[in-house]
Amino acid sequence: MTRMNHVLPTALLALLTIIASGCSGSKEAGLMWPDPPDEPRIAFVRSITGEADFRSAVGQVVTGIAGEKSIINLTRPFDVCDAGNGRIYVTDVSQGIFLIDLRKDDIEVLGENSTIDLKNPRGIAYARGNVFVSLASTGQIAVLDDEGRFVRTIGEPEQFPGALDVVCDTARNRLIIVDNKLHNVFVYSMAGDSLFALGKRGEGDGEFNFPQSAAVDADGNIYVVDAFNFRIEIFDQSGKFLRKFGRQGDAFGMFNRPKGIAVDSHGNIYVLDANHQNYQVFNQAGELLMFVGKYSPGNDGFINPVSIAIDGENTIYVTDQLNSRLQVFKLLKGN
Amino acid sequence: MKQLLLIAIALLIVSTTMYAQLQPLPVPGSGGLQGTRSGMLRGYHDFTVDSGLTVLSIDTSASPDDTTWHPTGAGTSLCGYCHAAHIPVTGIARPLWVRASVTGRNFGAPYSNPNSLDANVLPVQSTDNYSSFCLSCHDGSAMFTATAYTEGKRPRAAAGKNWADYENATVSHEANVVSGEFNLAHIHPVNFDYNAARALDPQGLYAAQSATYVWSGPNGTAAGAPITSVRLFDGYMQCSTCHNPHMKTGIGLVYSSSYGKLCVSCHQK
Repeated sequence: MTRMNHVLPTALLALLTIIASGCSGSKEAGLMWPDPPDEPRIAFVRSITGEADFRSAVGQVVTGIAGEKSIINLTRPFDVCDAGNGRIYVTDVSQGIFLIDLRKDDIEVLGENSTIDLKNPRGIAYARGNVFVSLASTGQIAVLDDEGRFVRTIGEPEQFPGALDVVCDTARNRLIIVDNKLHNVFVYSMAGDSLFALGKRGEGDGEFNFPQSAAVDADGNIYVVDAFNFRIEIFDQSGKFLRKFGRQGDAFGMFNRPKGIAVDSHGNIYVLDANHQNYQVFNQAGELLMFVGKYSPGNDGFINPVSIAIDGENTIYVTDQLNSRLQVFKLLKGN
Repeated sequence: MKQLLLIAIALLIVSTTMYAQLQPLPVPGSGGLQGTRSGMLRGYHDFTVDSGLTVLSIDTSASPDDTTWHPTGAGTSLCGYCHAAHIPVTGIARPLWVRASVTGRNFGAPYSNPNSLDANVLPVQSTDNYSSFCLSCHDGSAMFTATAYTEGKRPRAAAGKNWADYENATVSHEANVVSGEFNLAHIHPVNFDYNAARALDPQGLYAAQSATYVWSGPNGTAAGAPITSVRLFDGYMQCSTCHNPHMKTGIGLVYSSSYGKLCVSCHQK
């Protein structure tokens, strides 16, 4: 595994990050996986902890120290989704929703003046100008516009008492909702109509025991992290069970606290694990290709990561919860 | 000869395990420091698929000999959700894109969190470990509305110390977060060096008697039977200082909280 050979004082590191964020695509030298002599496949790009990481925010930080404006910092990031054009939404279970705009080089709180309470968010997804976010406070899915203005809710109060994840299947105009308490995955139209539900509690094929999250690929196949069966289950777009892989354990290819899941443009499957403190990359057959991370406060690892997302250019985003940051990676070669 | 050797090995394993289990001693009537199986079954942390609990709730009537709680018998594990046994690496394939730079077949032994069966007998490798294992589910996922977070109080830096000395004390918790309103008045940090925190407020906290216990007396008096169930872990306060994950009474407190008994086992009030 790749290792950092030095530890910089936090202030210096923050300064370097500010400088680095000014140059698009800059990388921390040498931080790639796997290690030589194997061919590098994934590179670390940057770490986002809050306002200080953005060049346009430097002036505001100074103001913030003077106490005139509070500084935006990630504290307990949960879910992350890509909204295209360098826009990333992040939920933070101790704060609310953040919009990170990598092109504008900015971070802001979403929906501060919204007509509904957006504190206590969990899953978040984006499609066609709408943000879908599951709210622990009401057990509903809130639909917002790009600017965080409230549009409508999906579901009655407490209809989704454990909706940890929401995922958009943009091509099919569908919303996938993972409910950890009901042990179901619900497929809705983006307009809010229920289409069908997957699973029930159990350990048979197509059943779930505390499902955590989901991803959808270009063909509409649905990948579900079936956390306490320690496996990934794959369904086709009609909800038919296709196959599964994984089991509990500490050996390669196994899971202990599987969390987030994402699929890249090559169809490779990334599964985040909050005990292994890494993400493992599998092919469509469920064979392990590589893994990234270990227990670390440095950029070579994570402490209790929760969610992973991959954008159209195979940029990889990971919410690293106890390190209070969003880690960004780039897939260099995926086939 | 071969049989003798096997017996010798078996004896060695059993005696090692027994030695490890000798310390620390459980407190009579508390369900033991490690809790009990009956405390687990149909409790908060029973994740078996046929527990009948579609929304996580607890059944305090469950006893370990009652076979009716798990009607289908399909649950293949009870302990394994947290205490994962190490997997023999025989037959485990090397990652297809990692042919040379990694020679192992697992993520390290012990792995990144104390979640193996070895957890109780191994030294704490990182002071973050105990609580971060709890937080691998209590990250906004488990109980859905409950979470742990950083906002709030950290120990104030004492003269001659700086924030870096308290970097580990970054995890606070709220037991119940509803509609963004915090129900508990207190925000209590975990994962910090108890005596370092005490140095900031010597009159406010009892001195830790060892790396394992604060060991103040009942109701905060120095005399009397020590409260051994309120533990420190290598001198650190962790989630398990106050909560036993194997119990299903209330929120699994390790000691009665009535009239603040649990609080005053550390706080001098």
